[in-house]
Amino acid sequence: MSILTTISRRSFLKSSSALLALPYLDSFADAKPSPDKVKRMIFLGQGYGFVNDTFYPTKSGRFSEMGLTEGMSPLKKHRDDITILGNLVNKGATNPHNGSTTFLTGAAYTNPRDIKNTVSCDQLAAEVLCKDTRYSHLTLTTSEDKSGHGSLARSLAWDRKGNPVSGLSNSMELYNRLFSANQSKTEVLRRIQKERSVLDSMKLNVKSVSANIAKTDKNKLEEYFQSIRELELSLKKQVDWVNIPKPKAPFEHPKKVDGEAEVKLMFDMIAMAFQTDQTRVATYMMPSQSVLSSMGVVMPVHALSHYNISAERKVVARERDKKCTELLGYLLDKLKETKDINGKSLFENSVVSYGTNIRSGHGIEGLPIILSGGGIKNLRLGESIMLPTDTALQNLWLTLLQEVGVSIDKFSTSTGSVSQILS
Amino acid sequence: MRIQVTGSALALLFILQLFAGAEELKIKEFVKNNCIDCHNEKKRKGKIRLDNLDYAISKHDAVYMWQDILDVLNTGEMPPEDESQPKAEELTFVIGKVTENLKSAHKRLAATGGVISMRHLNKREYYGSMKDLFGADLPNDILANDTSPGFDTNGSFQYFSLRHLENFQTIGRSVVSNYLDFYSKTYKTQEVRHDPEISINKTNKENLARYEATMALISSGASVEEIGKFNPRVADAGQIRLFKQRYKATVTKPREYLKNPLHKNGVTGNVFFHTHVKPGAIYKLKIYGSSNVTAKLNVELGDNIVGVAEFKALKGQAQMAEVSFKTGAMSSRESISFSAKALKGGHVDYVTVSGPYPLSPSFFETVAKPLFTKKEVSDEDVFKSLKSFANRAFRYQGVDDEYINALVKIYKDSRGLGESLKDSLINPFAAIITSPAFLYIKEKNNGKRTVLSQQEYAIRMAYFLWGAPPDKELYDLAQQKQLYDKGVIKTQIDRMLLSDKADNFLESFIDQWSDIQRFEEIDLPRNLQGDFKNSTRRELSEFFKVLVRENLPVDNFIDSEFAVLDSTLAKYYKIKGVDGGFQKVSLPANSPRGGLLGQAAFLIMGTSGPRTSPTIRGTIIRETFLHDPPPPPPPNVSGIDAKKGKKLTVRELVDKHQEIPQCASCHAKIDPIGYGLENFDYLGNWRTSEILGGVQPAPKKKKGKKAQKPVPAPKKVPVNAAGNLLRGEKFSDFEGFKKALYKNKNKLAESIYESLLSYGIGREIEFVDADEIKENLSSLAKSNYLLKDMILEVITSKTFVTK
Repeated sequence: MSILTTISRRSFLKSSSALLALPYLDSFADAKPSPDKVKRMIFLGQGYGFVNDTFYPTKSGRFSEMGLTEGMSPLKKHRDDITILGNLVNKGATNPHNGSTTFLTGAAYTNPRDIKNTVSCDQLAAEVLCKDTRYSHLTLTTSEDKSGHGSLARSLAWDRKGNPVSGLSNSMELYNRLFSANQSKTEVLRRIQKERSVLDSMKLNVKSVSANIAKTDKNKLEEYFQSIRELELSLKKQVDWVNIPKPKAPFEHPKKVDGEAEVKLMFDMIAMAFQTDQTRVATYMMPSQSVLSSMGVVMPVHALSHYNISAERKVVARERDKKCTELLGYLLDKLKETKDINGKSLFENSVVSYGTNIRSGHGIEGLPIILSGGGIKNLRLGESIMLPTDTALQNLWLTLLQEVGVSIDKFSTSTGSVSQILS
Repeated sequence: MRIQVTGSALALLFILQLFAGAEELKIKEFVKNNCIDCHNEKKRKGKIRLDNLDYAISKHDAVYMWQDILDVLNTGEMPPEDESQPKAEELTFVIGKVTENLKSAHKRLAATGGVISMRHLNKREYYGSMKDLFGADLPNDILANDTSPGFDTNGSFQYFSLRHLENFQTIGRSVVSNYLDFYSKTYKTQEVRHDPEISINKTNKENLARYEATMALISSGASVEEIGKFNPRVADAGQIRLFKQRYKATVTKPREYLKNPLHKNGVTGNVFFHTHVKPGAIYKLKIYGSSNVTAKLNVELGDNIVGVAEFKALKGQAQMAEVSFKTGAMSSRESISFSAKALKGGHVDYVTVSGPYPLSPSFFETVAKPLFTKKEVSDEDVFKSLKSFANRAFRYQGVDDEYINALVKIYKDSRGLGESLKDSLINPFAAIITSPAFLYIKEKNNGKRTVLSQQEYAIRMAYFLWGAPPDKELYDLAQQKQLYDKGVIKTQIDRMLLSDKADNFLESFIDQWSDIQRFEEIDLPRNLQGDFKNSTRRELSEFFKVLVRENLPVDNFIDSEFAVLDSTLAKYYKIKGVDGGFQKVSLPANSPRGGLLGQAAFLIMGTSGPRTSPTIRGTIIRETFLHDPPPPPPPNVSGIDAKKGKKLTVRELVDKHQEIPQCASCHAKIDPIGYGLENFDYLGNWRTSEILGGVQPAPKKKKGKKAQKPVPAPKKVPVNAAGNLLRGEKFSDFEGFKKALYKNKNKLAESIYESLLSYGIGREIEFVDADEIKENLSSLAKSNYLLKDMILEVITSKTFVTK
């Protein structure tokens, strides 16, 4: 049982060092947002599926009566605050190797050659929920290229044109985004002025490059121009917020951090971003390989996803499942512990969605979604809910968006809402 | 000439259509018999209608419709259980055919008519272009690897996002600032000495003292709190007990270490220290010590091995080994490390690092450094420097004064705020290497297919063969309009391929062609992780370099009289007389290691757990040697089960695919190809017999318990490597398999040629390319598809010289 003993020993060492205290941050915004209005959402995408016979409940029922499956057992503490949905299908997804490409978009494309994705639900939520916050969304991702999200997915988020939204790919970048660099207002404005002149010079260069090129190439160059515009917008937002300083970092970034500890740090900082009301929607395309490494497992995660090959692999795959839900439990802990500006726990007005586009192996039908949080008042929690066979994931995203106040009546190819999740 | 070719293509198309017609009828018949009763115009069960299907799959809607049909057939959902079921062979045929049709429909619908999309530099090309300016390498990990469903040069798969812009900006600023920092100060060559034993001995002494003091405290009967306060690692009764138990072993280690006379003034283990260096400069590392044996120490700068220090067997005598290395573009404070363990009976006394030594200046140095030696820098000086830097960075495709003036203004504004010369120059220079003229490969076009200008041609060729911009010689030839001369171009290609810069192309191309990425995802046993993994990962690209540079025929991939091995691989293959790095080694007559087929990495890619996977091997052979990749695995179809029933050979297990119609539809054309490699086990070792049920993990002995009952010796059966290729060409063993592939070597040539072209022009191969490819391949066939000739043919093809 050498693999298992390494897992438990290594993960103990890693996790105990990753337990960073989350100090209370003073509110910094001028006006407190009205407590009822605040809704927050977190979308987590894991990549790869879970072990079929040890992760998934086989019937509907309350966890308090039927208990949790082995794979979900680390969530015991949150048993009455989570719900897992069965029988979900991402309509239009046909290739398991596309990973998370359409996980939050539900776009019907089947072939990497016809790359046309559509807007993801987190972005639609952010347009409404993050109107008054410093950041219009918080998109986090991993730079690991083998974590089962597909070769096209830069993050889970896609903009209204169906273009990929690039995310912050490690906790260091998030740290620098959230906390102040101790610059004075004059220094900040001076830096912004410089950045703007640099962007102006690049725009001049775009103009000369775009002379005498084909129309299709001009469209390509438009992507570059679009990034300049996004940078300009973010500079403008920085000017708008220049009178309200960013919070000071409550801890020093540990620099070399990876795997499980990295995921925890990301979760810590999502909680901090919510706590300080810098944003209200966070999306995170999560790593897998490095988490396995930090468990002391050297096996490549893709190999592990085909766990039926050997008994040994299956043992490790089941451990990985538990590690995944353990990490989810860590986030739920954080959300429950942390109070927002209004003194309410973050958990109370958040909606957490955790899942992946694959059920198990190459199977994409009956993909797993775990919901949590008090952001939707009548959300059924504490249950395994077997939805009608082949319930569209698109319908679920529609329902969640509608319930947090996004006024839309259709999302992607949705055909209606999933009323079963509401009491 | 042109008409003739098109004519024969038309005839071929007609014959294909005839075949397609018969097959389409069979599918129609199937739909009629099994689906239409419930899914017709009137009775649209499940709101689905199948009586008006688009059999030609001419639109995207039809793709989705057929994909849905395929899904329910694959999972066995349709026809419903209570309805009559189609015959197994019918089902197999229809699933197989529809899968193929969908694959080609995707290709057809995505076709652009041969438009080559403008693209930005990929990671390799960005590194190559930066090196051209700064004369040094960027660290590998500052940019994420490109992920693309096709070659990394394919523009239509690229998307330039905000993240790219931010990354290029950050890297540009830190490289420029790192170099300017050195130009703004005066640096002299100096030598720094480092005595590695000082800190190691200090740590050992401190640890020992702490252990001894802790033990003294415990023996004196101190309370748990007191002990914990002194040594937080021994803070409760359990830890105290463990500490006492382990005490002897714990203190022995540092005591023994300090007792060793070699450790008094030196070390015998790992050496690790930091030193300040200039970017893009030469340094010398001297290691002073002794050794009783000949030993080679790998010296690492950061995570990269930069040199090998060689020690001679000189018992007890002091000696010195020297390694010189070049620092990277982002180097400033670097870690240097190596292990002294190989110096059996010897030690490392001390090391010195000296430098920087003069090196021919980088282009950036020639334009930026003079600004720091002038007494008074005028705006005009800055303008000139920036313009000359931008000219080269933009590959001499033109720089507007308006743009340079905007950069000079950024400089002036900073100076006006009282910032230093160096700080004021960072943004303007960094802006140049973040601007689109540097980041994008521009080719003029007015919407019609046009022949490239000589300069554009030189640029396309240089990024193809070097992953870097042209050098002076190429720019000059383009200037003199000589590049379309076949003799000139041949000389240039020879010269370019011999250059070290071509390694970038030879490695990245063949790695992407073979999808060697898969090898990295294989779960290798721990003892094969380090050197073996690195060496075997490189074998194919080292082999390919020899094939191209010596202009050898493409069929060397199937079998060759030589291999390109280093000592690690030679040992694994049991081939004697190979010492050191990669070299061409002629193979004994009976060796199975010729060609790509005998290479460990290639074989290990087709591994699934502790057994071979004829399915994966068959897939890879079809992708590479046969140029006919099978469709991706369908979703929601459960795999064949390895556990139940009696112990099987891999072949018996994989043959289960043939029992299930849904599986058989594709696997009948995959698995029998993979069988040809069954003589190689899952780790690429040659075998003539196989263990039933696969290799079992060794039983674990439990401590303190008696050995468990003896495990019966595993049953072995002879390997059966018989199989067949796609068109039924049968073979009975590995030799026969190779013969069958030889007969199809035109497919292998096509695979390499089309891939080279696709990689070189940065787009997928489409139907419009078919005629020219056919023509060029038939002329290459005359000399048995020589590889360098193939590259020449690609570069001089009409497709390559047009936009």
